[in-house]
Amino acid sequence: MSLMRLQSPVRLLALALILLLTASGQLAADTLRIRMIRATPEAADGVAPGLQDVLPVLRRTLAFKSYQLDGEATLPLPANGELLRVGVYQIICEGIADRLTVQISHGNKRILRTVATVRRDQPVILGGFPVRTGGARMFVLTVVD
Amino acid sequence: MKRNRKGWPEIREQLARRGSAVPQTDARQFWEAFEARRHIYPQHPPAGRASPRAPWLWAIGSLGVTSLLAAAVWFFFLQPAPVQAHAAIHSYEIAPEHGTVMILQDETSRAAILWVTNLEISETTPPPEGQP
Repeated sequence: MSLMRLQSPVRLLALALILLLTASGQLAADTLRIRMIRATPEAADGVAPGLQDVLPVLRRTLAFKSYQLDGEATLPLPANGELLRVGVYQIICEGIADRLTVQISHGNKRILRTVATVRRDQPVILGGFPVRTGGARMFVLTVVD
Repeated sequence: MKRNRKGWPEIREQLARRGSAVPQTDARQFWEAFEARRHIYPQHPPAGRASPRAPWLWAIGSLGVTSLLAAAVWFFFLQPAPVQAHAAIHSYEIAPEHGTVMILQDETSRAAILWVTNLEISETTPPPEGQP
């Protein structure tokens, strides 16, 4: 306990610094969650349990009946451009949640590159990718703890 | 050592009955032994002689703590709101042939949706890297 032996002002300063660093560390602990979803117009497939948080927005804005979770990846924010593999797609994210660059590729070919703002509880959905078995593919980006 | 104080003879007798050693050294011997041994134990500084660096430490420590608290208040409460308050799509580039591109904003959840129609890609397993 060498800290306890320090003079009081130094101990106070160290304590304040630790508190500040802890608080800023808490704020910087955001994680980007990317879910790859397959949507189909038939209701028989149902909705994956892991999509309940985004189901209301999907139901309000899209005409599909079923939503299946086919892949998922997470990465810490700010993103550093690391390559993620989600299903047959490669995703590269770079930057902070305020201005996140997302690039989706398939094979060696880039399909989509976009700059978006992602907020907690405000997902960004990138969709319209065709699915071989029918329906549409989309990527849901959310910020989580 | 003063041995003519009132009550001392009784104390000496009691000590002798209990078998306790009665100090026999005189004052000069006692203080010599004391001076010889006091380096063994850490000594507190005499009262009234505070360390000269203490006021500087207090000043620097207080200044540092005040600065950190001010920075924390600014960081957590006074920082200007970000320009973009909700989820949004700022720009996009689509490489393959495609149809209409729609950008939707759900007013309830503030979700942003970028939807591309008739995207001409085939969702097959891609060839290994390095092969065409």
